[in-house]
Amino acid sequence: MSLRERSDDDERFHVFAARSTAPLTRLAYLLCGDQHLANDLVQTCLIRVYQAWSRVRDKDTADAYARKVLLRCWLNERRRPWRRSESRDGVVPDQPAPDHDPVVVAHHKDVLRRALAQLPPRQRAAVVLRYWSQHSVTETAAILRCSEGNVKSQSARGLAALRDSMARLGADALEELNP
Amino acid sequence: MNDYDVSAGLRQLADDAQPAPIDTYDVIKKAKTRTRNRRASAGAAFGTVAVVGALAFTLGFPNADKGNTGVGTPTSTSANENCPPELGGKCIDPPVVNDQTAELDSQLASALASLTPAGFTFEKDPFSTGEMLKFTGAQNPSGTMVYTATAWIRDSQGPSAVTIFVLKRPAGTPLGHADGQYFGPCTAGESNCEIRTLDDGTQATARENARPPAMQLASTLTAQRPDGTYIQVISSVGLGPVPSETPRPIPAMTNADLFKFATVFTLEGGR
Repeated sequence: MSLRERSDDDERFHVFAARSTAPLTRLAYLLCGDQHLANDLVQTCLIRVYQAWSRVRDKDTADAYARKVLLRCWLNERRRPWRRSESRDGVVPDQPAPDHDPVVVAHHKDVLRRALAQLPPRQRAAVVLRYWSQHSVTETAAILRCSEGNVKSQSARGLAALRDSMARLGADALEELNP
Repeated sequence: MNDYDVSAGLRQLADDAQPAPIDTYDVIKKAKTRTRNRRASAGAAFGTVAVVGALAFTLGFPNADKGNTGVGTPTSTSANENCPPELGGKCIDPPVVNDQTAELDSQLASALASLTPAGFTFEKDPFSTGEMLKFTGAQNPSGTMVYTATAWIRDSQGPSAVTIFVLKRPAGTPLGHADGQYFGPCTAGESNCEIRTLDDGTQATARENARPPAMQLASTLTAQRPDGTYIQVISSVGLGPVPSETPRPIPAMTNADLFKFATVFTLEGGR
């Protein structure tokens, strides 16, 4: 590869990274539920994407590839030894809700965040990719490296668990508010 | 709750994410360094195999009749240890033990008596493969070498876990979140958060009995020393994937206990 081609490649990567950082961070945040970790995952993801950048030719491929890499980074991160003290026990993160948020919206987000945190990683990934990223079953299967049937069952189970958790957590929270 | 509600809820939640500005020049630099290191490792491994092969060939496989070439066995054992069956054939990097880990072990041992809260004793973490409070190194996702030591700490109320992370950042780096670490320092206004600048210039925050997102009840210290040494201590009631006994109801360490760790370690050299 000539210097000129490499320079063009780097320029394309700068544009891609500037455009993709925000959507990738949102995806990472939904997957991991932690702001710091989401930012770290995006940086690790971009490093890995750059390593394969010369083989990524068009914009659509790059976006899909980056999402796939991000997901692998997160699943790998979950296996690290120092993550083993994590407990998805669904307790409210003690961060104040932004002032401008109406109480109901903040409460709803809290309940959803807690419910999402209780899902196993692959179910959570399936739900986020299907219902937030709006990927088709086929695309989700390609990203998760599993069969379409597996995506359907993971999404269905994840959604059912999410509904159960939200109903339970919502009722508990209401009880706390109105003892 | 229908599918639309799920999508709408996830959209609202995703809006909470605050993308940090990414320095793409730094990303490119790190990517190139990693690629270079990987190629160098592959080259070294190939060279080692070639040399060992040539040596074995030259020596005529002296132990071949016993089914043992004499040079292959240790490598094979080591590889199996690093590729446990539960990882489905995937391999993990072996923990690093070097001059830095020895130095950190020594620094911790010297200060251990003063670091141990009254009425508590440290014991080996049964879920850890390492020794009690002995450091091992590993690269975190950002490529930084992180030295980690773990133990359980017990009193009459039961056991809880303590993990110490030490890594090196450039001298003069202000206290902040280190790439690859789960926690950042706590900030003013968060419950139980205490912020101090110590006599030697070390900046530190401690936060006892708090529950960061998706973690069990934990007390945490984050400290940045002027020479660049970054120290993080997590005292958590999480005992591991399948706890064999009931953990202590609250973490063992208070803010005052945690601040004692802030000046114990000095990581020499670059990494």
